[in-house]
Amino acid sequence: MIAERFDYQSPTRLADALRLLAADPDGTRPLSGGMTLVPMMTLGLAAPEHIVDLKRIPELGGIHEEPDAVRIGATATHHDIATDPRVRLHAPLLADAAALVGDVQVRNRGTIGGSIAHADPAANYLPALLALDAVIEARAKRGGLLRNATRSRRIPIGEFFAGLMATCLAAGEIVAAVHVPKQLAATHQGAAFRKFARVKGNFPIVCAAALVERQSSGERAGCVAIGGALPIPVRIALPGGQAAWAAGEVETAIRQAIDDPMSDANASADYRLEMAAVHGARAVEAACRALDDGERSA
Amino acid sequence: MGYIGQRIPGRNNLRLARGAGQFTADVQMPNPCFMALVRSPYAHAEIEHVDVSAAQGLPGVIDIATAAEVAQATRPFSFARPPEVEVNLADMDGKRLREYALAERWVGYSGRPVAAVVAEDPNTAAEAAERVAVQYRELPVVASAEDALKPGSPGAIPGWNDNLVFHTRYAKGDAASAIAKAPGVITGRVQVQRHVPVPLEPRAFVADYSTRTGRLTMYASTQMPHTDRSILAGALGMASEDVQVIQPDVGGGFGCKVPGSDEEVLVAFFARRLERPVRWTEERSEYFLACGHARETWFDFEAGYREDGKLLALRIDAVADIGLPFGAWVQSSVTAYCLPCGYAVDHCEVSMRSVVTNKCKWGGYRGFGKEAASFCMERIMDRIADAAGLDRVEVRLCNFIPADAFPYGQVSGALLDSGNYQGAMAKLLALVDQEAFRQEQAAARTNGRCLGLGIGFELTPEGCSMPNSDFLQGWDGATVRMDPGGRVTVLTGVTSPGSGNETGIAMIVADELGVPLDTVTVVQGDTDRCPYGLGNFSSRSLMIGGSAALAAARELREKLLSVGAKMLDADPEDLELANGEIRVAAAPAPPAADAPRNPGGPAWSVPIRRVARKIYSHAFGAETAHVEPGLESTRYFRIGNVHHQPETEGRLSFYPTWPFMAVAVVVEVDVETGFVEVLRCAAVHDCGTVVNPTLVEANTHGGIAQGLGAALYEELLHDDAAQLLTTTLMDYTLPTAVEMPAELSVAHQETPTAATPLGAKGAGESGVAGPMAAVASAVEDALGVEGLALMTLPLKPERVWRSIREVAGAVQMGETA
Amino acid sequence: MKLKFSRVFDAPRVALWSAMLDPAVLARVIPGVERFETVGEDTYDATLKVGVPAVKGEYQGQVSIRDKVRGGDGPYSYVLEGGGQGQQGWAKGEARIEFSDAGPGTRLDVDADVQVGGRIAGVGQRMIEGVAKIMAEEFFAAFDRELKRKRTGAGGSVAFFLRAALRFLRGLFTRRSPGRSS
Repeated sequence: MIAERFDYQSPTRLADALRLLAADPDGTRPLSGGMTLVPMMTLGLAAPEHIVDLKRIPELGGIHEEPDAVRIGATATHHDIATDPRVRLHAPLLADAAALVGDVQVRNRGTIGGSIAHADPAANYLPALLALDAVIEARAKRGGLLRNATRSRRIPIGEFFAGLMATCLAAGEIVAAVHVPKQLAATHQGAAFRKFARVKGNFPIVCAAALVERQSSGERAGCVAIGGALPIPVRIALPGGQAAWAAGEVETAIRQAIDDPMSDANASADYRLEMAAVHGARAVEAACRALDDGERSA
Repeated sequence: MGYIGQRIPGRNNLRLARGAGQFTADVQMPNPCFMALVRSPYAHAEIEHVDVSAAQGLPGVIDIATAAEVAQATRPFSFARPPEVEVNLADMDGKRLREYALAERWVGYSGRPVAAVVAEDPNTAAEAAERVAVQYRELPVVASAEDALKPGSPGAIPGWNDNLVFHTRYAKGDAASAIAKAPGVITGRVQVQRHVPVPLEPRAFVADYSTRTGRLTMYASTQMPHTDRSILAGALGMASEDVQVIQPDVGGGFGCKVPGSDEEVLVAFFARRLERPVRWTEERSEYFLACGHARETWFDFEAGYREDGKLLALRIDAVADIGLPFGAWVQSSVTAYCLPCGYAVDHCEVSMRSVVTNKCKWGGYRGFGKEAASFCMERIMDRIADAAGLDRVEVRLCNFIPADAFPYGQVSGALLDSGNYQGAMAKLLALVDQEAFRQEQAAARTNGRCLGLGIGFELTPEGCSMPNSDFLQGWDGATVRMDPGGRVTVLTGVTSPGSGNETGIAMIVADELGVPLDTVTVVQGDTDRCPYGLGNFSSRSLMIGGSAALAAARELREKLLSVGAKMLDADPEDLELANGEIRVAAAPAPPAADAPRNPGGPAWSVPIRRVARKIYSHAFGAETAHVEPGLESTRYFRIGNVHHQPETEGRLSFYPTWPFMAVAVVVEVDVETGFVEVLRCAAVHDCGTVVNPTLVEANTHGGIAQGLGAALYEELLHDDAAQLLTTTLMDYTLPTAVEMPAELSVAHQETPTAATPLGAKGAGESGVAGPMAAVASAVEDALGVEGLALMTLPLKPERVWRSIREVAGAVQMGETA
Repeated sequence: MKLKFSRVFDAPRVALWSAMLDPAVLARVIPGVERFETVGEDTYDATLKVGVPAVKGEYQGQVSIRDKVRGGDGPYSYVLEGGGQGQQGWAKGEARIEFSDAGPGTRLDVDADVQVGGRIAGVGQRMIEGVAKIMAEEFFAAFDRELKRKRTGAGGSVAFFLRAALRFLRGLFTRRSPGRSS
């Protein structure tokens, strides 16, 4: 039961929304899909006085193809992202990550902007975007005499996450869109996403996003990003100069990259570390197989 | 052909699936107000001060109550030495506890209601509740049974000199010396965690008090309307007749909705005080905190066995963490009572210590303690098999109570009515091709996959009846009446949590009266309309409620036959009731519908509705003058095989019927992660005579789902301050449809009981313990690691993973596994 | 929940010890302090805002210091105790802090026991350890800043004035609505 009163506004212009958010950043929350904010309010963990609904603002929605990237609006739902043909073509890793968020109802409402701004360490998008070298487009009201002036900045994903459920967004600043660089064709790149949870639909204990690409020399290069092990996602470059990787060496690389894994009732630190290693290695293996398939079909 | 034995879907299913159910929260009331509660965030504390001033000023707030107001207007729940039940209970030496619906000076668990607010809408009520400021002084917390038993431990309850509240003991033979002489001995500990049922519908209450009539009407999501009425009347100081409890559609009970909650008393209290309807629907987190927990028990065992696997002697030292001593604490006694379950053990000693801690009281959970007992025995059987190098099924077969030994007196004095455990197991093994599985397992292993097969057996007695108990009684009432048009109404004291027993009861009455099923209406859950009954628990609704309905219907049947005989000028002995007619049994086939009628010929049949009409409208006539007018009967049925008179009967036996089930489970274990997936499940279930196979199977499927939940997913976690860490469905994981096995089949065996007229034993609780045991056994089989013993539930991935490594580590270090 | 933290500081033990008993310093280094009032010897009333950015709870309570051990060759130590209640529940912690010589500097060893209760315990168990670690980090970082402040002395004042001037100038060109805090 939501126990605190709040007012709700649903502007259609971005400048209006940003102005509202800047007026009282501590007491105002943006609302996108509501799959994070509303449960927090129902559980009594958040009590904003003002809610600004972003869903009617055109610049924040939709999925658009750009020359080198796919621009995904902050209010695009997980379902949209999972099923959009351009995302499936140019960044299948992201589509796979989106397809495994929560359950059907959550995917129909939850959005990428809301998810990454909240930055829950277990969120599927975090390692996927890290592996994809995504760039966050952030918008805020611009200080100064012009009422409707807004400022925009691009934040590389590696700099976006600041700590446990903390981002580098300033007060009143929102995620406007996520720019995902177009990935190589399936003949040259394989991707895989793995999620490890106790039951279907639950938050994962760990999740892993792997990307493997073929290089001109015939060797392969790649990375695997792990979510859920540390407060922020971590990306591990796979050892170079090889055509393949043994599961054991991937696991070792992952273990070395994770010091002080998180611990909770679902997974203690040592178990969580092992699951990061195991699932990261499995994601790499699956990405390699996907690349094998892609190469064969060439 | 009769209805009994036919597969007929529950008649409420379509209505409920369409969203046309009327649950307590759907009940409409004029001008209602809404209650919210202030709950203690401390597990053990004294209340120094409650300040409601900030809440009072909020617009929309109608009333606020603290313990002071409630103590003046209601009576407390009281825990005292239970009525004398010989033999089993330790001296309670002054252990008492009286608690009003709101805590006065002391809170004993986190979540305890301390103040209550009523407002015009639920959000304002919640907002006001947030503004009530309570000053607590923390007291030392007793957070676990281990701590509670330590000498010098702080007390969980003020004024109690220790935390042990019951010590139940049963013994047969001389277990200690038999173990000393046994060729082989194993020891160990089995642990069942703290669980809570999770019905789709949490608790809800709507109360309305009329000053005009002086009556209180309570709509409650409950399992026992009449018992609830007594409790409310007692709490409010009202006469029972002035309280009406109505149980609308209920979205699952599983034991958690037995009466005796603070919240219900508070809703009634406010309804009377404010003279306005008061509503309360709980939040899921409140449900986890305060409705009622269950099952947390450990069993330390010592078992002496023979080379052929025969269990010669058994000692069990069990400890149950019952939280506060209210609600369904008796489940721990039930656990002790059932041991050693379906096995014949000549020398057996059972000790069950029930211990209070600063956690929520126990509420019922499907199984009611029986599941913990069966799980314990199954793990012991598997350990004997491992130690003796024998097949796990063989060990069970050689220890089962033989089929010709019934009725069988178990160690506790329980009298097991009938059984054929070997038959159920044999039938199961026929369904499960073990040979084929071993090949499948071997092939899978070469592909790096670990499959395992596990078998479990459960003994799940039903029909619980305890001496001097307001709640648990093995009798019930039913009224059957036929109206002048021949339509039948059955009013029962038993109720339905959504399990479909109203359909089974309609089938029984329809068969008895020979009327079409759709002319029988079953009314349940209204204390103003229904005869006294104990509601639904322990699978009693069909076998006890149905038996009462059968007895009442039988009286109507006799009267209809008697009058029908006169109308047909025949002998009642020669008549039968079927298809809505009373007809001469040996009559030629009835003429075709379009054949010309022969007015002068003999009448072989008469529609039952015409007989009914005759009884109502011509009570002084030739056909009816010999019978009492009216067409209604109320009968009460007392189930057989219950023994509450030890002085004359020589035993105390609480459970009349003893259903059982053998179950097999195939799992796949991911060795690297410890993740367990249940692939297939097959069960052979024996609940005596099966009235409606569809309903039995549906109930058993649900039981199996909860058994898998207990085996793999469910766990209430408390920290050292007895704070409940799992208050949402995110943390209290449950199996969803995705986690259920792709193949799930239930076959039947019928070993009837003499305790009920139909031979039915009840089918509502079966399916929990068998899968708990079978899954543990299957995971061990999948991993095939010598010395691996999974004795603690749930088998969450980390636990399995860590167990593998501990055993592997021990082997590496050269220790015997 | 038990946690251990350790950090070496570039200052002698004696300086650390007195700094860590100074209420003005404590008010600046204890993470999330919004109000810190002395109510007795080594006892303070405090308001703390604790949590992750999305979920911060305000807790009213007390902080106190006891069991001081100082003198001799062994490490100095004391126990810092705090607890408070808020709408999200309650929190309390006890930390034994040991000051040992580490070359020219001092090693601070913190051995903490943290307990939360009420609503935050029921829904936040995944995050509690992470938040405790963040607080420890913030504590050490704030303490580092304190020591640098004390060291820079006059240089520190210049920097301080420069920063203040910049803030003033920036404020001239920023439109603020009433009541907004920077």
